[in-house]
Amino acid sequence: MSKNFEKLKTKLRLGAIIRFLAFGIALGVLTAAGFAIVQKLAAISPDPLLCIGAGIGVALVAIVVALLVAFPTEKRVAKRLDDQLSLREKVQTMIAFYGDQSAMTEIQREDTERILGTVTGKQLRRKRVWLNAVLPVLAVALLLTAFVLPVRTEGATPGGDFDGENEIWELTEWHITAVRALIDMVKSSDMVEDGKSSVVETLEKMLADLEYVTTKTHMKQTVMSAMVKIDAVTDGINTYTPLVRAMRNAASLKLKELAEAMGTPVDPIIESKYQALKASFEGETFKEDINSLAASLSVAVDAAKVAKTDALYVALQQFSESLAAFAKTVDELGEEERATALTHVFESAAEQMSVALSQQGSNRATTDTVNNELMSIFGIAWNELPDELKYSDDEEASTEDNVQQEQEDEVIGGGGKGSGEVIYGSDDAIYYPKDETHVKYGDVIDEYNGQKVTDMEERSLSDEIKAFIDKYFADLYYKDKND
Amino acid sequence: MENNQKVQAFSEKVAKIKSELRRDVVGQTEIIDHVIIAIIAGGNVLLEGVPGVGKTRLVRSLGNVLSLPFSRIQFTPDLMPSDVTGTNIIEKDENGKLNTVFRKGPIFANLVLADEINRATPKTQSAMLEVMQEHKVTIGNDTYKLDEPFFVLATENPIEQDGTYPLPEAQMDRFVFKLIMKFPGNDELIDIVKMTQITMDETAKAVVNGEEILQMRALAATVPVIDEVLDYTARLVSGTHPEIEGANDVAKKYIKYGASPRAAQALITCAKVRALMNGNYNVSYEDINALAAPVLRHRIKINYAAVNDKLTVDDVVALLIKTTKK
Repeated sequence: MSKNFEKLKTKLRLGAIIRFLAFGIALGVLTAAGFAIVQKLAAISPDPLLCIGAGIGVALVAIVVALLVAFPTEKRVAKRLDDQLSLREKVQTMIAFYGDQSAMTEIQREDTERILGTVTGKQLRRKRVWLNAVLPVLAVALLLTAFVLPVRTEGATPGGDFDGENEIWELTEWHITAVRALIDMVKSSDMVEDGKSSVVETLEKMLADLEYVTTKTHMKQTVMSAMVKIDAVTDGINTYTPLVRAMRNAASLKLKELAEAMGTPVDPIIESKYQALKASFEGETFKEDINSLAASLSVAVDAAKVAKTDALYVALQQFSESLAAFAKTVDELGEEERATALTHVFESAAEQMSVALSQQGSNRATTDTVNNELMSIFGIAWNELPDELKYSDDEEASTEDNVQQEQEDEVIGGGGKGSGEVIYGSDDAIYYPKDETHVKYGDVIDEYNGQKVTDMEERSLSDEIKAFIDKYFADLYYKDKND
Repeated sequence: MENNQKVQAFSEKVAKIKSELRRDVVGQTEIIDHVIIAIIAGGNVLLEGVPGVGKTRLVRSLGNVLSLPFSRIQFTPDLMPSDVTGTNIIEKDENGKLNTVFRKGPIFANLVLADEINRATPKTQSAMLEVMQEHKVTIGNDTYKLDEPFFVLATENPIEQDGTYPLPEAQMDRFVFKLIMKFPGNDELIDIVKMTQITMDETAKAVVNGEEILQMRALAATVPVIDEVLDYTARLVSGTHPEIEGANDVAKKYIKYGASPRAAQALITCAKVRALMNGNYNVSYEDINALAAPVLRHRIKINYAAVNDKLTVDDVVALLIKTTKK
């Protein structure tokens, strides 16, 4: 083949291969960056292997396709030379007739060879070369965007004084070790198994997400999102709050006293209050008071709508049943025996409730510890936390109910349609035969409820009548605030 | 002669022919080029032009330059075929014996000017065109071959349409080119007047002979053509047919009927000559495009849509070139 043509062919082919490679690489970078951006926008930490793999795959395919479709064959090179240099198909003719030995083709070949010998590199330069830079520039721009764009996070947003700093941050071995130690702590804690696995899973995911986090802002968002989820684990498994709230909302004063005496998961069974409650069952109304407490306790814990297998629920229901059973036998017991039996009932209940509350306390303690440690490990200040993390539900219930209690205490005589959620009885007075005077209804309803229970046991009433009377008293205790 | 020398000689001879012709014919550069191409390619030319633009002068001058016998046939409605080809006559020899002798007609020349061919009857036209095609005359049982190179330049007068017999399309096809000789420009007219004030005779001298023309023809035939150019030519010609599947949209819109395969043959043959005349040793797309109009204008018939859009046949050919991909 013509020497000059071979030289030009090699030059053009080299240029084409470089262009194909640049095109393929640019397309690959575009693809990788596009994958990363899409994942980040979908609140997923970009998988580098996936992004790089996709980019390499697309680059390879693009290069191969470009080579197959547009590789400068001899014919294409000849055409390009003819078109670009206005040679009127001289080179193409030379290539097509290269094997021909006729006189004219030989002359044509020599003439073309001579012309090709005068061609300079400048003459072969493509016009609008800048167009070739468009794709690589776009690829670089998209890649930078992919790096800079934070992963969109769902869940906790910073509260309080969080200043949204954009400082560069990187997950270190120290962080990983600390979080792994935290995971081990959770696994060996006294928390219930379901709760443990949820917390561990949340911590593992948080670690995985943090690998791709590059700014402090993003890191704090990721960690606080995990803290909210961890806090919610305990809220989901602890039943103290709904149960004690139901007890406090009940009309029965004894039930309210029991709710107070029960304590909290952190501090179960306040002994002084518990003993005071036990000691309050005396005198002629003893049996009525016991029955009243039993009934109202059973109704209240059912109204809390917690799982029937929950330990605290079971403890409270069993306490209710023990009280009711005790009330049935109390007439057959002497004074000393009565006191002993009462003590036994209360102590058994206290033990059960204590165990249940302690478990819930352990649950709360574990998640609180985890969250405190996370704050320490990742340098999150308390005032940066969202509101849902600043107060635990257990405390919240206590706080709300305390406020409500204070409000109730302010209400003279309480009841009626009154203020607040608790409505017990009516402000109306009722004639009280014992004192031969009118007294507030709310002061005597417990007594009347106890009398009701006794009478219903001693007298022969149809089930239907019994249900009607039960409902009457229940309505009195839990009057719908919308009435 | 060495090949290079032959090629060089080709260009030199063409240059000399052009130079000599310009001594007698003012302007009309493109016409001269195409006539030379047609002669070398072995084709005939149909020339259209108003009287007095130099058609006869061109052919006569060409005869001088090419050292070839020239004859002029003025076609009239009463011209008979035998007036063109010749006929047998009875002659008394020196012994007084009566013999039948063939008297050759004016067609027996190398260069023939068939003036106003469209004035002759179809019968006379067909006799003329048969000779043009076969380069021989048959009278009775005898066949008389014409000397090569044989070239006919026929003219059509575009003004006098009454009493004319337009050439049928099948016979128009026998002309490799149809050339339109335009009225000279002002400067050219001045030059013509100045020249003819000196002498009305042709002053061009002989620079080549018939044998050399045949050698040039043989050399031009060896010019290579790549398949892509052949394919382009075929598509250009077949694109003139609106009835063909995949026809050019221009043909579908503006052409009534298209060119015959002779058009493709003429394009390639003449393109080879043109390439060599211009110092190129291969046929290019540019050669084909430059010859498309003279080759196709008498071979395609435009329809009313073209007339309505004020398009001439040359405009339609230009559109065909524009829309045919290389």
